[in-house]
Amino acid sequence: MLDTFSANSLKILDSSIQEFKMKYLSNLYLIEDNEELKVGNKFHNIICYYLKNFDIEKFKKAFNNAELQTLEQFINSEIVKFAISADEKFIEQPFFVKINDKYLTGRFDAVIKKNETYYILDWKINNLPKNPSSDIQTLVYIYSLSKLYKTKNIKMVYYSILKNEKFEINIDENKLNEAKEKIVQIINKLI
Amino acid sequence: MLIFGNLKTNKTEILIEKYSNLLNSGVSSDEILVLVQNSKLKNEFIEKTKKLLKIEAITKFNIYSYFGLCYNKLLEFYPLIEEKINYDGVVVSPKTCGLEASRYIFKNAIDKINFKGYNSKVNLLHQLLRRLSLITMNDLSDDEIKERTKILRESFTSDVNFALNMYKKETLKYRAFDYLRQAQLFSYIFKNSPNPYKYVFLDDGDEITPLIFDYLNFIKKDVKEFFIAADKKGGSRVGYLCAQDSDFEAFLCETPIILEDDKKGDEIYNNISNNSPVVLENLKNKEFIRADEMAEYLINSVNSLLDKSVKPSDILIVIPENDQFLKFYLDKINSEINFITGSEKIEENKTVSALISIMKLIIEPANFKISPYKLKGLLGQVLGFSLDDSIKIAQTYEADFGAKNIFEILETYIEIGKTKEFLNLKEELKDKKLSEILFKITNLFIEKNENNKTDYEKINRLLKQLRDFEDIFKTFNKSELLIQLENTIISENPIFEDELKENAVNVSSLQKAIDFKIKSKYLFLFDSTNANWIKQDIGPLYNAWVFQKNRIKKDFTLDDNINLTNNKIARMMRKLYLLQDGEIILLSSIYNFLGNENFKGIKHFFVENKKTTPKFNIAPRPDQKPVLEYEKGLMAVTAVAGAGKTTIMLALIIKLLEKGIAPDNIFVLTYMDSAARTFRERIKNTFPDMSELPNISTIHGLSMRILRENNNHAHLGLDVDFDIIDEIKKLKLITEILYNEGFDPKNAQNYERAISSFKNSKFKNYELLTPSFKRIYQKYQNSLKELNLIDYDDLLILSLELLKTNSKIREYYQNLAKVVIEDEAQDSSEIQQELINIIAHKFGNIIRCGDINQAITSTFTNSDTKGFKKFIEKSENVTMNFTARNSTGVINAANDLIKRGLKVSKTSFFEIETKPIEGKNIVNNNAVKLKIFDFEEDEKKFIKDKIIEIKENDKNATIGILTRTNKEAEIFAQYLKENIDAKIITKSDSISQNPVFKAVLAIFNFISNPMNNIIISNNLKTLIDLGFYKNEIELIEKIKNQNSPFILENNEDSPYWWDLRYFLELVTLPVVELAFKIGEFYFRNNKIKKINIAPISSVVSKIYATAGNFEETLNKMNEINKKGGFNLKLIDDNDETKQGEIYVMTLHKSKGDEFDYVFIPNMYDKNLGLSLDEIKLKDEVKITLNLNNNKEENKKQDIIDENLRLFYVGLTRARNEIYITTALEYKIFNKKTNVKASKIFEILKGELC
Repeated sequence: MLDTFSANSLKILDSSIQEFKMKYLSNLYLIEDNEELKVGNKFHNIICYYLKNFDIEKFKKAFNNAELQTLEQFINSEIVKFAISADEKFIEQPFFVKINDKYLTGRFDAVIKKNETYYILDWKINNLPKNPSSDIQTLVYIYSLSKLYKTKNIKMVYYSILKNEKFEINIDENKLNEAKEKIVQIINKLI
Repeated sequence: MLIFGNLKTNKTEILIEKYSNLLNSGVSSDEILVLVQNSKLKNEFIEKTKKLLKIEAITKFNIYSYFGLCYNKLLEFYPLIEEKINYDGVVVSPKTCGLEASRYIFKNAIDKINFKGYNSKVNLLHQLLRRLSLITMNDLSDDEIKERTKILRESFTSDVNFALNMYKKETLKYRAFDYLRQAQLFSYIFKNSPNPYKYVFLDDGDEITPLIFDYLNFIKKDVKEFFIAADKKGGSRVGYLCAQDSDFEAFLCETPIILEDDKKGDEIYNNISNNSPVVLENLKNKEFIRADEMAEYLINSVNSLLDKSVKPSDILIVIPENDQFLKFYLDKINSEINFITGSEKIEENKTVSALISIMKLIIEPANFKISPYKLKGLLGQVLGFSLDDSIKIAQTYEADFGAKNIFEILETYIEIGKTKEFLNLKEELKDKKLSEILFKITNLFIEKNENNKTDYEKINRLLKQLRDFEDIFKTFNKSELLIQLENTIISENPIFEDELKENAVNVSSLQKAIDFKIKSKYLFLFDSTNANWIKQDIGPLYNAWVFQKNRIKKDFTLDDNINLTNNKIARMMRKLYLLQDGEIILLSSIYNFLGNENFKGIKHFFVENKKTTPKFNIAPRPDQKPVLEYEKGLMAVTAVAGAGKTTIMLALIIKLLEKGIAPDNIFVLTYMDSAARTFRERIKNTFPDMSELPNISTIHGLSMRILRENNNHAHLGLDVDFDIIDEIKKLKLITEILYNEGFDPKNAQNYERAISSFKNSKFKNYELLTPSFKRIYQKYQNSLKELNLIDYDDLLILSLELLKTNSKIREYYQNLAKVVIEDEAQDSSEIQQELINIIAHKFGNIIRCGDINQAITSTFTNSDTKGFKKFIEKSENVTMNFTARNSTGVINAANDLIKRGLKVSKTSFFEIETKPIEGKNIVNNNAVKLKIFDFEEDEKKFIKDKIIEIKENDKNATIGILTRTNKEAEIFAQYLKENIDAKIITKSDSISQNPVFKAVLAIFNFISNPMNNIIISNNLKTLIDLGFYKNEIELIEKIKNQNSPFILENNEDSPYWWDLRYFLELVTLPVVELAFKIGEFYFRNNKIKKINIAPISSVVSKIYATAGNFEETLNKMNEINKKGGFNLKLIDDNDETKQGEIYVMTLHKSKGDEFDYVFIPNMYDKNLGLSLDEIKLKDEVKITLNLNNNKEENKKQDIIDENLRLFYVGLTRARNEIYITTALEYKIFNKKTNVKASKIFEILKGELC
């Protein structure tokens, strides 16, 4: 029986049990791939190299002019500058976290620790979530981070690469409890 | 920590416990690496760890398969690689691709390289990849490679190195890395990146490659503690990816914890390593003659276990190769199946195959002509048309094939099924990427339901392959790619690892079964005498033993290969044994599905726990007795017709076995496959429990063994996957060569014969060849080499060459061959005799048995009767000249024929006098009747009347009508069927006479023309002749005369109609499977006829391979049916001659048979020429004459001699009476022609002396 969930699979489960079962239990789905996904990955990867202190000059050749502008804007954005200057950063940080008798899994784009506060950074290529603070991804990420780093000082930051927009969410204990409750509630749909 | 334990122990559980303890104690999961063999074991490791985990969160399980580690490290540290690449085309992340795309790169990179001394271009790529894999997995340096190529004395080393470097460069240019390149890059990455691991776990350490061991060595200095579990005798990759176990004791400087080993497992390991058998208590040994019997037994056993509520997952069937016929049988298992063999063709999946056709239609609406057969399947299965509509549309499409494109036709059916959506989508997609097209049409046509799970898995694979191509290459020909992908065999591609369904019977290859650690309570070892159980690990470009990392030896010998191969199979069989806990059922058959002999495999390693002593009683006649008293040396046995030759030979073999000569040391060579089969079946029936039979085969079977066994072919520079060219491909090849060289392609068959004759001539004198023949011959030989094929003649020549030139191989067989027995020695070819002399040289024990007077194959084969005559002169002689078979009159006539024949030609007969056995033979001194008629019709009528008369007097009399040619046999059979109310049985080797072929052809013709009433009517007649639909005989005329299509009407009362409708539903099947299904449909319950279902399907498969689609295949089959001419190998399905039946066959075919009454009709001059002016040489014979510097006259004399002997064979078939007849006027090629009676009449009357 399936006992491990990602933000994506929980989103699907939340909207339709049928679809969830089809995809995650029966593997009846086609693997998606499109230009937008590819461009998104390109930006994700290069910023990951950048934050890990690899030299990214050469990789810029893989970007066209418009993309290069976006990239410059991205690298020079407040949020990336903030990240690069941090003492403790965890790039592409995976997590595997227990929730009751089930597990959550995924990978943070970046986690920055500054002044005892953990910032979860999440890059979106285009649109930010409609309601970032109640988005399932937010819930899964903050819950997982709180367990992985045993902390309640958390901020979740979404950033749109193309739009150069960011959205910051402050997390408190209530929010964390709500998150757990909501996640468990979605998982329980399967019972 | 070092644990030595086999996979039955709890070694993995110990590791898991240690691992979870570390995690629970607070060590960061980022600091612990766990290495396991594959993703299945990885998932199991994770699941078990989860249960022991007490902390709430970790970053991740760093648990990797060996390939997974390479893959992940490449993604993580790609900047290290990109930094070193000096070609344009920077990417941010590497393109990790499957083998299909990387092969494409490789192919283009090496197109122009010569590869001096390496011929087989078909396998070049495959072999290069295997070599690359050896170099990579062994982590070899350039110097190490150099040393190894020296040992192998290769002529093409520099070409190979150049090719491999070129390939590396190309993959760098494209940034496209398959799993091998990923592993190579890993070797760079781990040396140039920080090591994060303080604790390293390794399970199944015996299965790691030197590359992984190098990695462990490299990070050792930073690692606090290792936890390693290994099996000292495990290592199944030995000889495949690496060659020696990694020395973990030295590596860790630790005393290992040794878990208790399994005694029986040890015994298996030790015995098989030393090439000796093991007795197993839980073994059941089931042997069959034919593969279809074995397959049926398997299916029945599995199904009856399932009926008894045995869990499907407790049943494991291990198979040596992916045989398509076995797959057809496995479909009959009443449970789901996990098919875990690591290789399959995309085309084999119906849905994927249909989707590919649709893609082709979309991208090339103008050029791609979908085969009408495939169209019918598409319409019904995918577009949702009814059967009737599919037939109609396909018929319209086929009627003006090419004129109208299928979309135009579909426009008129817009309301039906998903036509409308399809037509819309087609416009939208035509210029889109293939992956996009596939994505969209799958969503439109393939429902997401549980039944389509496997389909979705395969579609995703195809999707991945298409995207690989689209990501890597800017341009490529889309339709060519589709064709390539359709035919690719997905093999050993680690990115495609099957998920195992929980509640399913597992069918697996040996390697996968042990890699996945599949446990079982019922272990079936299927086809255990198949040579493929023992994988071939050497070849011209590829030598796993020499390429091993820690090789110390400076040379490589045949013994190395044999010992290492045995050791490897010992490791694998031990592991397989340890995995099961219950019953082992060892299945084997003497012949494979195609009727070819099996040899070796793994069967001889296992013995059931019971002993039986053979007993065979025969009271030999005085003339037979000396044979059974044979001690040693050369013995020639001359036996007249009916002297009981087969029985005494059999008795001799059994006597030798009783004397204690091991079956392995007895070689029996027969002329025909059927004789080998008879010997084996009889020995098998005498000793049902005998686990190993003597080596009984035809010369071709023995030659095949010599070439294949112990990888001997490698010494000839033959690639491991070499194959024998089949008859259809061979003729096509010669036809093409003739056409390209400007000769008349119609002569292909003559040239085929001439080439064969030249190859078999003792002194191949190229000087005598005409320039044109030389050219054709050379083209033919070169083409074979490039295709990695040899022909049947090469098979003999090459095996002989091996024996002559390689002393190791020669000694191997000479040590084995303590006694060599040859049957039908008069038909033995020079090559066969030479081969026998070589292998029998050490012990010098040869028994050759034959009857020169029955040598009737020398004019159309390469048999050499003189050789046997010479052997008789120098050997101890036994003459068996007593027979109880013939009446006294026939014996007298036969003795007279020999005496008088010798006067006609000194070289015709061997003088011997046949004698009756007192009181046994029918006394009838007027047994031979001669009749000459004016007209053909009179002759036929006489025979018919006589048969009726005989039948009235004695309804149990057996009658044989023996003709000169197959055509005459067909004519007589037809005539008698129409005029006599009795069953007429035709015995024929001709494929057009085979009932399975007839039925398959009939249904194929119907499927191609479902609305054609004439075909349907003719088919019904054929099928009624074969014994089906007897109650529907009046339909034949009715269907023929009606106007509306029979199939579209409502004929629910007719079983024939229902069956035809059923066959139309099968059009989604691959053509070969369709043929098989038709064969099974009609002949499943016919014990005799069904044996040719697989061989006929394989003929269809061969034709399809060159024809390419259903329609062309059918054309070719119709052609074969009409013209014959193909020497296609079927299993002799002629039942033993039964009392009271009437048989029609050729004189040649009658050899070995006997009948109460015999008719030999059509005995006119040209049909049985006995003087030089009566013989006309055929064109093909003339070509071969020139080759052998032979004179026409000599050849004609040979034919006269053989005609006399052929008649002698016919004469000696008669138990009682024989009628020899002719007419003086025949219709030959539709022209009335006057002929003379053959001189045989005068000879028999004593007038020509």
